[in-house]
Amino acid sequence: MSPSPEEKSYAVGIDLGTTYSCVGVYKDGEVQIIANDQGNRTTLSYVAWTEQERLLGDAAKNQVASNPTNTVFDAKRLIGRRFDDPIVQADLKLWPFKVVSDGSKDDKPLIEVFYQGVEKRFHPEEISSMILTKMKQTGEAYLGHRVREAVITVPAYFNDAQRQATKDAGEIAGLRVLRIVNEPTAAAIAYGLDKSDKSGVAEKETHILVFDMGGGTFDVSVLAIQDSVFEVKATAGDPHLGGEDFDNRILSHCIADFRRKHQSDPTRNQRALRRLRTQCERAKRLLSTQTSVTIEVDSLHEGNDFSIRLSRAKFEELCIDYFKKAMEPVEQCLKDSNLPQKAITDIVMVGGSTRIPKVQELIKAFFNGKELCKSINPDEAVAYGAAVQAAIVSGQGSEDVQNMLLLDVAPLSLGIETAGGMMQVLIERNSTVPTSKSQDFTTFEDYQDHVDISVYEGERAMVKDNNFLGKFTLKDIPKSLRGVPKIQVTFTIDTNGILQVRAEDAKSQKRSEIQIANEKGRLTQNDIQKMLQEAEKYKGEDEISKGDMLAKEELKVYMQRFEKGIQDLDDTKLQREDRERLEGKLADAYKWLENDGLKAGKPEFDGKQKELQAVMNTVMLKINRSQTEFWDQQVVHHEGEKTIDKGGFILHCGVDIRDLIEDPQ
Amino acid sequence: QAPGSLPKSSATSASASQAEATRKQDEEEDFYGLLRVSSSASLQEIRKKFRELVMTAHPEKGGDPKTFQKLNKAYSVLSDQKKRQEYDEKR
Repeated sequence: MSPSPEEKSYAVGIDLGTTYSCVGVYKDGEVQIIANDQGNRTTLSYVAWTEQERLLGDAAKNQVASNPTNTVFDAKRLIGRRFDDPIVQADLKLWPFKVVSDGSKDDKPLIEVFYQGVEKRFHPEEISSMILTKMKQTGEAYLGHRVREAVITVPAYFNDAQRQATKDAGEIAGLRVLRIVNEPTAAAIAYGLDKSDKSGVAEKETHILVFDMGGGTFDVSVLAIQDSVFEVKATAGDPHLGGEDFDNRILSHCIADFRRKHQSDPTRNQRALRRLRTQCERAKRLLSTQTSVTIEVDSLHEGNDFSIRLSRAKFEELCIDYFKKAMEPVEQCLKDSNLPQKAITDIVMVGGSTRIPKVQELIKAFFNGKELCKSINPDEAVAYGAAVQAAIVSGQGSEDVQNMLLLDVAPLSLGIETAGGMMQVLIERNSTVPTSKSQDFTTFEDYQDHVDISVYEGERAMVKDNNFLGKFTLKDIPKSLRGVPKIQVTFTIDTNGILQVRAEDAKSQKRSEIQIANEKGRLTQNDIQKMLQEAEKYKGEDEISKGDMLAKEELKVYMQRFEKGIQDLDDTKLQREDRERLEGKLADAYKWLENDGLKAGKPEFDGKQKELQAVMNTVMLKINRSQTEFWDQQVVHHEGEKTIDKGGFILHCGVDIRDLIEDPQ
Repeated sequence: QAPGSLPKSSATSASASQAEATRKQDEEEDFYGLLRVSSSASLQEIRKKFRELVMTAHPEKGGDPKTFQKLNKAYSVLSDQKKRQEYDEKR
């Protein structure tokens, strides 16, 4: 059946996190956060490749200790960055999987894994797209409808390239990305709806500060909320600060301790590191509720067990510089919003790392002991807000939701390089988007026939201190003395925070423009199409693989029943040679499963099961012939179809032997 | 002289230098009129009016991006005490 043209399709909201992702949908007047196939409301942002298949989400993390080099996470820390980015270089050392440069002038990072014996390389966008695919499937499983559109969130402090790359990841996952929304803004929507539910419509203007610290990124935003208009006043943050950094500190602490105790270095042992890291993360979580914890790993490295006691105080000492660093954006953000500290009515805590008592303590102290707002779920608030925004943009929300309006801002100043390497800002940071600004420029030398427009983002006066975004050239300017030509440069930022730059010579009307991220290692439309096809292929492979896995599981279950069946067969009824034959067959099957079974598909598994069934049938028939009293009655319904009406051969173990044999024909 | 094939090193010196008269446009625009408030309006009034206006003017609500940008510009000046003062002085 072809799908009806009116087939219902939902737009979901996806919080694509560094360590966890979450999906929500606005349905029947409220937001549902959707649990995945494991029953979890957040899904680990992990992708793994095993000998047989690709695993997504929780399933990928579950096998990480045994397959560390092919289990990929933290794609969000790579997305939209260059391989030679110092942050990437620092992270590299901590990842068990391999990251290489693509060797092009853009120096894009590629993640290298082994899949079915072949080396495969993926862009971070592709890894993110796989996680998005998982979230999409989670949504589809719950809704029973296709999911084609999504709002995806990014840290407010993500730059242009990172936003663009995230949007590309959505496209590769086969999603139309309705909007890229800033995480703290999405969380503010969740807060705003929660508040208006409780205390009626928020008529009075309220100012809130959202403190969003997750697994890998950290954002602070100040918003003004009134009458369902959410106006972001200012935003600040650190795109590389979060729970994983704290894990790393504990990990380093443990490694140093292990070295001291055993005079051996586990840092090259990926499996050991992975196992230890898991325990460090667990310890960090526990230290939010208890004051001390033991980290234990048996046979960590070279047969040595590892055990260490970690107190909350020690943990805080290990991470205090990070915690203190997190207060700077808070101060900056308040300053940028032109609001006095006491104007903040609520401090909204979002992201798993805000559970850390010391983080809460510091921010509370910063606001002179003001109570923090903890009424919204820190893990789900962002996806919640994204789901609301998805409903607004796709027109699926109820009236009060439809009336909401988000006024978000650009997190960084944007400008171009002028003579002397100075940064000329066109769009100031914290400008409300969408926005557009034009400014006139002229030539620097006599008879200059072209100008280079180099685009930067950042707050420093010299461009060399800011982040380079891209460059393009406006050519064929009519020759004249310097200062005469009038070149209009226009910056446009859309609602996703993505920049477009245009330059035009007033006299010749010559134009040149770039969607800026194109220049900075962004995937081309061609690349995206290719990856989309690749992803589709994977989907096919996943499904085939799913069929393979099912057949394999069925075979295993059958083999267990088979084994039990032989054990339970009475020796008086079963001849020794037959028992040996059955046992031999079973042993063969187990051996086959261990070797050939690794590469086998559904037909092979099914074939193997048939083979076992056939042997069992023959033996059973033999028993039946000599012990006809077992069949009380055989009823023939149709030709060739017989069932046993009552009686039969019930084994002591409770296994109905009829399960083990096919109808004797 | 082959256009556009200059080596990278000379590219920086060839980059655009700023022209002086760029802010004239801003001065000509009537921000108070755009936001439909009087020139003595309080910050609260300005904010309230802006929110009212963008509910229909925002591109997401079907408004014209140009109109929204004008409102946005006006609001960004008038809602900032320092910028508003400068603007008032120039008028």
